[in-house]
Amino acid sequence: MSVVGKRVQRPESITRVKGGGLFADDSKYHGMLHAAVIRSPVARGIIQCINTESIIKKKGIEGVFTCKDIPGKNVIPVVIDDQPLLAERYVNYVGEPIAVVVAKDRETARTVAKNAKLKIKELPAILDILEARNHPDIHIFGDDNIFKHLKIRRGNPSSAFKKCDIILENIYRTPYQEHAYIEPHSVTAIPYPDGTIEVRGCMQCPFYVREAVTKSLNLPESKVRVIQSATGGAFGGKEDVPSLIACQAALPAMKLGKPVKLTYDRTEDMIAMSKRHPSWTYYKSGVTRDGILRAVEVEYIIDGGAYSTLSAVVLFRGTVHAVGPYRCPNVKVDSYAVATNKVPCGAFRGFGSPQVLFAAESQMDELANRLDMDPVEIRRRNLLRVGDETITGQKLKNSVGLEKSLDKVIQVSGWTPGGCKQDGVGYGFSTIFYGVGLGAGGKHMARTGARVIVHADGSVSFSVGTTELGQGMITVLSQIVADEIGVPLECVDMIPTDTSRVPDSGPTVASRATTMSGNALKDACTKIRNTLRSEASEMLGCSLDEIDFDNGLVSNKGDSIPLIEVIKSCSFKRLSLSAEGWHTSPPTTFDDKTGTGDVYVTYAWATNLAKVKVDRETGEINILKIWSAHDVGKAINPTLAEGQIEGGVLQGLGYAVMEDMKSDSRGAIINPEFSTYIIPTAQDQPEIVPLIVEEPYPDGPFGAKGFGEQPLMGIAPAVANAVFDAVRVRIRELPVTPEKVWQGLRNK
Amino acid sequence: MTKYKTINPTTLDEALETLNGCNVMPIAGGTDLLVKFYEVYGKSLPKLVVLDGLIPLHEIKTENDRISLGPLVTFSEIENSPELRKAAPQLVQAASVAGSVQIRNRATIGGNIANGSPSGDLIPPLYVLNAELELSSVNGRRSIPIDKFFKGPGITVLEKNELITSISFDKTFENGFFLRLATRKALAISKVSVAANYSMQNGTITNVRIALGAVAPTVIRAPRTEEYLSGKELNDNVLSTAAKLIKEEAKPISDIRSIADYRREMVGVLLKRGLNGIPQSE
Amino acid sequence: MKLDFVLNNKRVSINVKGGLRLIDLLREQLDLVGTKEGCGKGECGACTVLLDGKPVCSCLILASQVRNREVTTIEGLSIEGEMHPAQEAFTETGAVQCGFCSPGLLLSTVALLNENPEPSREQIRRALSGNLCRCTGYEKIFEAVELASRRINGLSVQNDKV
Repeated sequence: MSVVGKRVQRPESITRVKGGGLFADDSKYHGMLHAAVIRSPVARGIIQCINTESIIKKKGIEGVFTCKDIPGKNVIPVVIDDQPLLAERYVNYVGEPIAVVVAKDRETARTVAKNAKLKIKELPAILDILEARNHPDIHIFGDDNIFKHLKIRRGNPSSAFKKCDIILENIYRTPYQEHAYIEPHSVTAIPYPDGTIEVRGCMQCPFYVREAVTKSLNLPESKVRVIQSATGGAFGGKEDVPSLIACQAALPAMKLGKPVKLTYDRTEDMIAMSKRHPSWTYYKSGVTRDGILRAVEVEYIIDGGAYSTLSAVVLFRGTVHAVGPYRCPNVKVDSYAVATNKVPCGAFRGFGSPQVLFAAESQMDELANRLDMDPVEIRRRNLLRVGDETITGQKLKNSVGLEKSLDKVIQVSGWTPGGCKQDGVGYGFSTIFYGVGLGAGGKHMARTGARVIVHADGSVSFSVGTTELGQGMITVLSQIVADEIGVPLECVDMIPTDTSRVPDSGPTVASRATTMSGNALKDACTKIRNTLRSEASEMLGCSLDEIDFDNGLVSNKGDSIPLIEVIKSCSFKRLSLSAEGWHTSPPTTFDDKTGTGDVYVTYAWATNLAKVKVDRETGEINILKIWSAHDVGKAINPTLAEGQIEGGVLQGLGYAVMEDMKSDSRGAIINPEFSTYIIPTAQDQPEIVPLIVEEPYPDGPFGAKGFGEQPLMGIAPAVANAVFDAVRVRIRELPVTPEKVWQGLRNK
Repeated sequence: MTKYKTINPTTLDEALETLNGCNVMPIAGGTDLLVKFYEVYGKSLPKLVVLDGLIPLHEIKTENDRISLGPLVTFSEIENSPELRKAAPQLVQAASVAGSVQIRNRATIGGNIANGSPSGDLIPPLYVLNAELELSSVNGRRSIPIDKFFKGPGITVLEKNELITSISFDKTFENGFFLRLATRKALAISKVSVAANYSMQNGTITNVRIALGAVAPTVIRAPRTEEYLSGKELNDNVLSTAAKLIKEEAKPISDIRSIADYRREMVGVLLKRGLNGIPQSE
Repeated sequence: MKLDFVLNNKRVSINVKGGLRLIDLLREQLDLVGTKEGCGKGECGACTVLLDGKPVCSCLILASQVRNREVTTIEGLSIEGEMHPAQEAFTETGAVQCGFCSPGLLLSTVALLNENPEPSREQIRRALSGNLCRCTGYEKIFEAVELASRRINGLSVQNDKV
């Protein structure tokens, strides 16, 4: 009996509900010390003096470490090596790490770090992206403060606009979004007498952490072992930044020869950790009278903060997704990741696409409105189908379930164009897509390893290089292994992700774990199964191709024997039932000059419909219901797929209507806590209807493709469109707050 | 591991004696105090005088038409008191929307008052109930009307060695409400709130008291609006005029939660809704 | 100082610094690490424990404030290894994703069901609104509470999705 496609329970949830899931801060080690970080209080300045001698004299302090103590390179490697582990001469944002203090207990370390006296000469800072780009005097990065400029050139937009009947030009803005994983960052570094450093912590990308630790401590990769602890939510927020935190713990651990734990408190986490890039988008689109999208021109600028981190690749995804899931023959996109004196932004579910999709999908709705066409009809006339080309000229060969997702939402919601409705109630659509995997922006990392061992007692353990973050990877991969070996699911266990078990498998990002590790596991399982098959054919006295594996039994046409007997027999004969699997992505391309190429191996597709009621007096937006349909190729576990949709929708809803992180005129974040950075509670959750569409992706395990980020991506425009439908107020700057709606109503 | 120095008195006299010392501070539910303790006091943390052990200060007492609450009565106890539901509906409504279950189970009425925030949700209801506070210290007791207690955001007349020992008020007139707008539906601090207490006699409104939260440095009453409404029949015209008047009485600012113009306007909207009997939206 | 209280149905008598936060007493001194710290300011509910059966944030309570009172943590929900119906329901409906908020949510759920064995969806929302979850969108958590409620009340349970 196959378990792929079944709603099986998560194996690890049993320990979690008993409070037994060991998260990074839950473990203690013999002789363990605690670290805390001394940070810059200013947005830009020159460090004149760090008085380490007075700090080290304080009671309970075991050490204080600055950039001078780093034996290797003072750099956190991500894309471009511009970010130091600890600031040297300059600081470039409020919260930038300057030194690490280590004490016997956490409170002492934190108190001393907080009160450390620094002499920093403050310099004028630039906080606004439009000001920062090509700033004549202040240079945070290069000589123009541009981390990356990307472009797409397709057809001839300027002449195409002349033939359009309706052209709309607008500016859209989006703010920071904080990941707000409930577990703050935590890591422990443990030194061993042979010089090995073991790092345990919450993280998405153990191989990133290993690279950072080896470079900064000047160690070979064989001497650094990184093990992921249970991780309490990530959403991109534990992609690149754990590298920084791990080094902040590993440096003192190596120097002092003792385990060092570093756990951030919530406020520190919110001030100093990465966020979704704020953005500014100029959007011009033109249609002919019949609603056909003829030309789009976009200028998209994201605020990278003080160091480049992942901004270039975040920008890449935003650029490729700039027009939404539509055919458009004439496109010009210019996008920029710009440096400012603020906290570096990084990965966050959707990775640069939610910002630009907010603009694209709001724009689509406005075009429909101007054409007096319903929002579904305009989408139907333009959406991508098999055989169409994306704006990068990628021809879609298969697995395009966009229209199916639209049909499913309409069917389930019962939405009809211009259907009767109450005053103040409105409906808003968004149709979106998501390039699965790293794509051409990160293709050098598009490989994964796996190891599977079938033990003599019939239990199976496997290792992969990707990580469980709450999304359900352990379950989905266990289902795949169970089916591939032919054992019951209860016999399969995943070993916590550990860099010493499998080769570098790249990061757990870009919704890639199911497809990449799934394929690598299939590769390993196939090797083991070949051994089992040949042994079984001997035992059953039949040919190899007659053998069938199912539900713990191995059979040919008439006879069957328990799989465990075959396993025992292999063990007796000393045959190996352990194998390594490897998977590399099909090739992807992107031409920097023209912006053309087969950018992603495949795409996921989605339609969202939001129903809202707007209070005309207070501007309050009551979200009544959200339907969200996603083409996932194949849902290996429908319960988990729904969980991704429900969670992503609510996170998207927070982005749409309430989440708003702000910094003051000196670049300090003014609301770094949960009482002022507002995310949805159980009472703010509307009814969410998750819908699954399956257009199989032939190169994915069982037809599956990644989609975990997609549920967040299209919610903000769907809500903004619904608000417009309800009260004819168009909000082009997130979040859509009661205050903005009220002002819009008043100005009408 | 966060460590505070604490003293745990078991009688009021003992507590007041302790509070008369240096660098000490009383703690009730701790839901405001412990949140900002470090930021406010940094290295010179005061010793905390834990009030939990003072049993009589947890009581709700009724004598004829007078109700008195001990300062350690929690938001949950207010929310679930059948007595208060009749006698002070606006106070019950305010207690039930503040914070979360966890916070309401610990947060106390005395703490909400002593914290002195203009957005403290129990304060506008206490204004319209004309509550009296009893303040005690080793030097004796004094009584003060609630609207004389606050000096500014977080600033009150409470002396360092004093404790609020009772909050008392007469049972309400027949009608009262508390309405607020907040950044989300739970675990939120009010952007603006309106509380009222009034009687209806032969279709006209009398004995009107209205208080506004989060729209001035302290909670304020709206005397001009109260005066205008007094003796009027509640119809659309009267309500609109009252809404206009009350907007002028509010002195809001823009901050992380909202903007001044919006707050000013919403004071009027909430007043109209309250008088029309529209319940708190959730 | 010496502190006497009941922890997970057992009397505890322990020497503590009275000003320790309850969460630190539990996690650091008693090694009960199922109680999680998400914010330290009572804003996320990850550290929720029951004090005399009522949910409270253990980050905002001092150890001395639980003297002679009853504290229940996530470790005390299973009795002799048998999970509470709410724990079972959470694993069955998919209410656990990363699991960091789960202990706190479970204690809020148990307090609700003890007080109100058949809560409406609105009552569930209200009772759980002090526990932030960033993974699930709450939907499967609500389903879990409803499933546990039906089990506790001995009602037949259909899980048509299996």
